[in-house]
Amino acid sequence: MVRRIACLTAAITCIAALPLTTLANPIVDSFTEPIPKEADSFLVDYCLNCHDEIERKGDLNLDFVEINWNDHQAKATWSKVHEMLDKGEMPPKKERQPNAVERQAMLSWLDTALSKRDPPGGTVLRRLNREEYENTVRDILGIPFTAPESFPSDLEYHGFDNVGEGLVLSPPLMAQYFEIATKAADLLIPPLKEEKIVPSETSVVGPNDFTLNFTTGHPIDGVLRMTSSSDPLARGSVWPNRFEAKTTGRYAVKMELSSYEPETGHFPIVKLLAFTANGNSFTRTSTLRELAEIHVAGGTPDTYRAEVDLQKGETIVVHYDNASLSADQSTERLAEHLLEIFKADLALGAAWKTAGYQRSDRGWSWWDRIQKIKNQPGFSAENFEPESKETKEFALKMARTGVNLFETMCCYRFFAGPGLDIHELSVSGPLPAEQKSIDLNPSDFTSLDASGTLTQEQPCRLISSLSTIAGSAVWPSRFEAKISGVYRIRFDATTFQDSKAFYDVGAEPFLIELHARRNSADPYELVDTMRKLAEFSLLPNLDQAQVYETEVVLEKGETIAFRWGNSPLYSDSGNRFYSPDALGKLVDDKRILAAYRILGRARELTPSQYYEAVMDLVNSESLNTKETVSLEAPNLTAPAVYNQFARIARQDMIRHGPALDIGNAEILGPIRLVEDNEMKEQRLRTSLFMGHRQGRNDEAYATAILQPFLDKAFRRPATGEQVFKYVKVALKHTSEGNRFEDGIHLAIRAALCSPKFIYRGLEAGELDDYDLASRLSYFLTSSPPDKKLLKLASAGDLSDPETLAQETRRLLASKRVNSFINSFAGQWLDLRVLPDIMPDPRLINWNDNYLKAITDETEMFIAEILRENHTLDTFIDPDFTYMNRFNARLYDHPFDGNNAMKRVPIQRGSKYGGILGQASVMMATANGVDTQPVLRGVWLLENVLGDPPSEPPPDVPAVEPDTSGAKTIRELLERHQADASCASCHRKIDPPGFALENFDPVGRWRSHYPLYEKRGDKTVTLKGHPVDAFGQLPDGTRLEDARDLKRYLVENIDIFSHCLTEKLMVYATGRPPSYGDSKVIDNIVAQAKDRGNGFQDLVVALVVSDVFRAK
Amino acid sequence: MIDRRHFLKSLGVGLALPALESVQPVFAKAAVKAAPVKRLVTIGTYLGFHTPSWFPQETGPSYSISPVLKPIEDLRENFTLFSGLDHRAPNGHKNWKNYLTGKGTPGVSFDQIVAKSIGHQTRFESLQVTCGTPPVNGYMSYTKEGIMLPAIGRPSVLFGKLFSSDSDMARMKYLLESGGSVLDLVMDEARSLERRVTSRDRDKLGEYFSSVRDVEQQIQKQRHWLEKPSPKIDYPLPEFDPVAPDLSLECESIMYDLITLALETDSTRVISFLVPGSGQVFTINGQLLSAGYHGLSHHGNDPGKIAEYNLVGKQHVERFGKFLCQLKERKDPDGRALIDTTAVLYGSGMGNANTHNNSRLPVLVAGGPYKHGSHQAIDRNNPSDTTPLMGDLFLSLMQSMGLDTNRFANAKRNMNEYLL
Repeated sequence: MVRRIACLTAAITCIAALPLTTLANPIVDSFTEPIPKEADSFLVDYCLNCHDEIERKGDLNLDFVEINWNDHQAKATWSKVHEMLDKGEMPPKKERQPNAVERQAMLSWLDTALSKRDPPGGTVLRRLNREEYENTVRDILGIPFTAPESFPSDLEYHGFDNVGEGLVLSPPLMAQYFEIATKAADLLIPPLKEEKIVPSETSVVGPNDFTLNFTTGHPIDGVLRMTSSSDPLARGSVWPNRFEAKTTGRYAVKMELSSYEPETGHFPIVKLLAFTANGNSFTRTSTLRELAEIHVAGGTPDTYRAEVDLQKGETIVVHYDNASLSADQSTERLAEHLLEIFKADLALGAAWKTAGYQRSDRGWSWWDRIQKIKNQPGFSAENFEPESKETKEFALKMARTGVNLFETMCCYRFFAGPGLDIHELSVSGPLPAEQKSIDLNPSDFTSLDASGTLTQEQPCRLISSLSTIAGSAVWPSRFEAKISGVYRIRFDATTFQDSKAFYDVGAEPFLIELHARRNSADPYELVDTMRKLAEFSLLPNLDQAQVYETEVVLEKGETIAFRWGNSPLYSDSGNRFYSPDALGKLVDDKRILAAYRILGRARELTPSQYYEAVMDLVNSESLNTKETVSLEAPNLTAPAVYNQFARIARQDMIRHGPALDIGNAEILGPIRLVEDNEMKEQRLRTSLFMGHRQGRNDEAYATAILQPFLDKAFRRPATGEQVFKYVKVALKHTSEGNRFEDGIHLAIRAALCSPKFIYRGLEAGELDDYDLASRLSYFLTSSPPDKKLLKLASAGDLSDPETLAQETRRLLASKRVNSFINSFAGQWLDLRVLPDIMPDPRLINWNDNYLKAITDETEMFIAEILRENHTLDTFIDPDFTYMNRFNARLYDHPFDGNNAMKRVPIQRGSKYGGILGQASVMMATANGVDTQPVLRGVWLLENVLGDPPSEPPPDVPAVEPDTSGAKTIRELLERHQADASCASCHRKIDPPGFALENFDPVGRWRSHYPLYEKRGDKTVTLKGHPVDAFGQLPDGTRLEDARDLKRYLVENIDIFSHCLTEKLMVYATGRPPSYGDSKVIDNIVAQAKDRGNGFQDLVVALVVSDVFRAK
Repeated sequence: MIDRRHFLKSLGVGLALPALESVQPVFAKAAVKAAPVKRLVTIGTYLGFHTPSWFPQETGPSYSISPVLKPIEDLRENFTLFSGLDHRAPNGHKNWKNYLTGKGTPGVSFDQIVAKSIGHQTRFESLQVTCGTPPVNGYMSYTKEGIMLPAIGRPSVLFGKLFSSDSDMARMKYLLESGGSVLDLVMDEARSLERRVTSRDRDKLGEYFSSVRDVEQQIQKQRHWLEKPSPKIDYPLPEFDPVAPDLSLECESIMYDLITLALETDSTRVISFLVPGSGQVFTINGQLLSAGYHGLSHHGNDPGKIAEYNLVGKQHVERFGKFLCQLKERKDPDGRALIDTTAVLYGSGMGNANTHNNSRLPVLVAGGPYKHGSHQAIDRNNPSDTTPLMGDLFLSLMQSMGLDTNRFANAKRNMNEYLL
């Protein structure tokens, strides 16, 4: 019997197709279930004629006696069978049909089996995609990070680039990860580099050694002459061809300048600006850092000097700041300027008027043409009238050529002036820094209000965080920076506290602050006005002094003040006195309060004596707190009361601690004259990452550094065992003769190559709270989970549906949701293909402004629907959209703004608006030249109607676009209707595709196709055939055009809801829906509808559903 | 059970698993048949040439040299000029990159096919060079995974890469040696994970294992090359990298020098060189041109602009000529003149810069064992099935290098009869 053999072969192929790992792992048994008799008969009667092993119609074979549910493909197959049967699409209408009972029985069996065997879930292990990887690395490093151009792009699968099956890890990608891991480790712990002393050099730049663009300057008469000021660099500034700062430093600039034929009262102002030699020449000079400003005195050359600070790689831009001629002027002003020129040189004016403007006249080529006319023998300016209306109109017409005229006027001014002449520029540097060193011991420090701050034994004992310097800080008596620059400071510090201390800091680390301070500054000013240079932390109760070192930038005249930042004796922000809360702790102690009341003012006692007296009373046995005095809390804000309690506090802390003792210090500098910004950021980054050893041994220190780092990298707490593996590798590396830092560097490299970093969903079993946090965060922000999410996860609270819903809404309200909009809409609506489409120039003069406008429109549109929780039909038929003058032009819509996008109300039911009317979608579903109804139809079925068609048969020829317009596209596609095998799919595809035919390849509404006719050199666009957008859906609905399609979708909104929910689901979970997933989606759609169909609600419903929480 | 790939297709999904890289072990090289051409240099100018001034009027061996090619008139026996060749690919600035890939969207460029085949014999599989910062669309070399290879634009950086300083070498050695520990640790982690995950996930993890193993092999290979001391070269690098756009012609000459050195030291055998152009105003022979380079390429048929455009074009050709002379004078490690075993493709991926048209590309082939000296004109006006495509020229070059290929993009023949 045919079937038995077939089933045997099926069984054999079954086993052969099993992945080897399954065979090797007998724990996983194969879930083979025999197909019950009734279902078997059904298959024989209604399916196997076409779908057996030999016929394989649609590439489908259903000839089996059993189903192996462990095979992923089996689930997909039988799911599809259920779907086709349920929709009535199978068996095909012309074939024998099962009766209602039979169909229902089959569906019922399939449903039970599939619900059991294909429950929600099935996301395959997936790696971070490119965007997620970038954001995760950025999160770890704390600096912006972009993957290099050479990163392979991710494959799209089921429409999105974050689906497990599509995220392949290939060797080139792994090689990139390996390289980036080293670069990232270098950013956290830079390799030791010898600081090379760059010798000072002088570069001399003559008039011919400047970079010129267009007419920014002209070498003439031995100078470089400039005559114009403009904001864009390439239109009004020059810079040396061959100078860039080899290293960050201070440079001495010398320039020989003069003004040329200045008008009375005009003195050229020159600005020197910093510019990265490799940068974009159209940068606006107003954004560049100003180095110096020079006022040029007059016509004879003079020498001007400036000392400027340059970062490595920068050059010096010379910018003429106040010329009257500028490229940034309005057309009217340019015209006025031209008229002034005419008045000054009548012959020139006459020649210019004769020359007029010819295409490609610009700068020197136009100037030469005008000069030729002017120099013709017999040329006369007699009839030229510079003030006439005609001349004025001429000037305006010339001004409309914009930069073409501007550049030619520059040519005039190079000869006529006014101008700025650069004779020479020379740059010397880097200027050497003369380093000096000073050693300080505690007695070399000063403070004010010595009471309590300094004692004989401990000259630098800091006890309070008073908000003024006086009373809270110490600073070197005899050091201040003689010259501004970078100084290196090294000092040691210890903490002190004994058992008798009143205040107790417990295990809180001490914060040591370094501030810049001028000796002339008011010591009673608040510390907030002082520049903080550095901050360190020191664990209490370490027996040895800890050594700290850092580099700080000091200006001339500044010194370094030390302050304890978090003493228990502190001021409230903005207040000069101790906080009542701080002193209040003393008041709360009844014995102290009693002693205070007993002693009274005690004005004759010194603070020390007063304290002793208080303590004697407190410790005496005869102190009776209840009877002798009132224990009512005194008013701490009253100065007298305040003073006494302040004394008690300070004296206690001096004697017993807690206190911060500054030991010896050494200041060296200036080691550099200018702080290299990059180096400074680097040092900060490294010190933040490494923390401070705090007296711990290598293993403990390494663990303290690596634990939080690994927690972050793996997006979940690393177990002790996991951390220890890394610590061990780091320590081994150190034991081989490398520095401790090198060991940590190695561990970082490994962590960023670890599968736990690269992959998501590695844990066995169901999704735990940390996995949920990751999934939610990457879904809505493409970034790793933030602190709040992690905190909820660690408390085990995230799996609570209410909390999950709350967190979803929180993330949706944050700015980072733009990543979601951009990524989801970009892929769902295919916006990512837009930058590569180059529309036919006969159709439109396309430029990037249009591209930006239509992309912004769609993104802002969806962002609003999400933010405002608009109902789902808003996607299809909204009453608003976003426009600027560019896409308004495409829609032929009145708009009174400029380039900024504005929210614009539109009529419901109109042709534009919504995803079926926005230019972005129309353009993405065409090819820039023609529209293709089949393409648009397929897109609609896949992305709006949720009913993707099958692949076309392999031998269908492509439609040759007949651009002669002789045949309409409908005529070209008529085979779709005529041929029965085509019609089975095309009756679904073509009608919606045709409904959108009124939208041309860039989204403009058209009633006729264009007809291009070549007339000589030009191509003219005529009206071709009228657009016939009519289509009839399989259910009989007639669509005259896109508006009917909108109406249909709104009336049957569930179709779209289902499709959108499924898209969201694929994007959110990284898998196509299983059978169980589809059922849950049906539920979500139904419930969302009951609750009003809001989009934000839908997203939340998806997150709290089983679909999102199943692995 | 149903054939997996078939079924995926019918569900409307195409899954392209990139073939795993196979890295040939360093010493056990498959016997590569002695190929007549050992090295490939591909050069492209981003802003093209004025083709009426580039293509000679006559064809065959006795053509009169065209104005733009005049600087290499004396080298005419060392190159073959082609006209009428292109890829039948789309037009526009954005599609300049089809020069070596032949397709509408980046596919693999043919120099990378060569690199993958012979690159294991040298320290660098291939090098990509440019002057300063290349334009956004001006990348020449693409890998088969569609990865665009960035080009080095600073002479000091290229020099440093080829002839690393001792401290650079030390750091590289350190990173490679310690890299082994890095990969050991992560493989260990992956193995313990493997035991816990589902079977489907185990398959996925398999990609990780094979990718890491591949990186391990790459490391081994690079360590081998680092054992050899990098050649010490005495070349007068300028004090200051001429990366300013107006200095790009100067940079071009220095890059040619460094390319020659790279070939002479056998540091690599596949080099692509993009000669860029943007809005810079050149000074040529003391004369400041009247417009920026890009503006000149859009001459609008104005004779003045064309003349200046050709001045720049001739500068490129002159410097290329000096490069060819160097190839004639310098020897390869076997003692033969470099030019004899080096195939050079010179031209542009832009046919007509004025209209952004990419058909009828200006290209010539120099060097190698070919019979040079002619202008080979391909009839582009009536293309038939047998009319050669640019890809056919590439196939000839590849076959001369011992590659067993007979398909490239839309080309399936070769142009051997024009070259041999």
